[in-house]
Amino acid sequence: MQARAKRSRTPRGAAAVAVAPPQATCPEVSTDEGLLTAARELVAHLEAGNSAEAMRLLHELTRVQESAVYLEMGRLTRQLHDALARLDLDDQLLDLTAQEIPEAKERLAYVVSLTEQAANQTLTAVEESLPTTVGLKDEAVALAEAWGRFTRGELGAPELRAVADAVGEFLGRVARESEQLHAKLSEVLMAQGFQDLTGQVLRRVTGLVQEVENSLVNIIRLSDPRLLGAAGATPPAPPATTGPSIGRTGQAEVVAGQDEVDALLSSLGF
Amino acid sequence: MDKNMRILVVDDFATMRRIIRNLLRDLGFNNTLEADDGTTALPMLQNGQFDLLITDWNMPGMQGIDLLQAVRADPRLRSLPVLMVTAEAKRDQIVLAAQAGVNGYIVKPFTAQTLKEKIEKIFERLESAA
Repeated sequence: MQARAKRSRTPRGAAAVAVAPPQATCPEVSTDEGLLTAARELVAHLEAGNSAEAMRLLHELTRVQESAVYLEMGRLTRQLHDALARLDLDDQLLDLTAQEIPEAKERLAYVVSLTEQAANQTLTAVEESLPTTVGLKDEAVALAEAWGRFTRGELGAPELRAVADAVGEFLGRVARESEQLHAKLSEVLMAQGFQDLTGQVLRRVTGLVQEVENSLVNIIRLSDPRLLGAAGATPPAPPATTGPSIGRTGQAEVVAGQDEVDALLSSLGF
Repeated sequence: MDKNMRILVVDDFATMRRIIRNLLRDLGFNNTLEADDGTTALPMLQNGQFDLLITDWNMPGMQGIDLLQAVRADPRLRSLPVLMVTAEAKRDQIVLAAQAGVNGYIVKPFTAQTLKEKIEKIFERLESAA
């Protein structure tokens, strides 16, 4: 603590005639009083013609002010550094931007492709089935008409033979084409499997959106000191499983299809 | 292989349970029940006489792998045949399921033919082991 320079009380109104002692130290300027004292000292030096002393005092004052500014800047810099360090340590954010968001776009593209594929498979099966049903119905209507004539006793022997043959053939046709329809309907059934896969993928993307939301909220809280201390919601832990593989090539730890699964299992003795 | 065997199908997606149930019906298996999670499936298995468990992996309450382990740990259920039908295709997981005692592993998307073959294979092996 610098000692205040002793000075004599000057009567009010009288010009101050003070001679600063040779070892003058800078008065405490953190208070208004201190500042006033320093200003009076400065004036005194100037009036006394002690420009060297006046300059020295001025330098001291400036330096004190500057150090106050530096202190404040240092404090702010520290705050900024800490905030950046916090962001830096947030691997999650890095993960999100570098990896998960691009992955999310891939996943959504996969959903689009899968739903399109399923729609096409279904439409194809339907397109191939409709003519079959129309054909069966048309022939059934025609034969019903002939059958009607048979039951009314309108058919002669040769016509009867022809109708019997036609009916026999028709029954064979129904059996065959029913089996075809069954197969087509099974294709439609299997095509609906998309919903399970797209559902799983979409759930993961929703989880990612939630993580992004949480991270953004945390950034906002970091930037506004008033909100510091209010903890952000912890994002849901990413699932340990991968979910449906969305067709990215070159993933060594993922098998490419049922054949590889079977190969892996038999290599283990199953 | 008894076509009347009691089968439990476990998957959190109802559409997938429907598909599998229809496929089983096509193969002649009409005695099928459903559960939407490992947590609901386990008591059903413990209280009912099931001959085959078909389960997904990814389920919110209890995952398929945990259900499998619970089944193998239960003396009453230890020898229940278990077939996993799942989108999980990581090598580590397949190995994990095999080590936990799964009898078959089908990866989605799958075909009706694959389901048929795997079920037949499971029971062929059980019969030849008996």
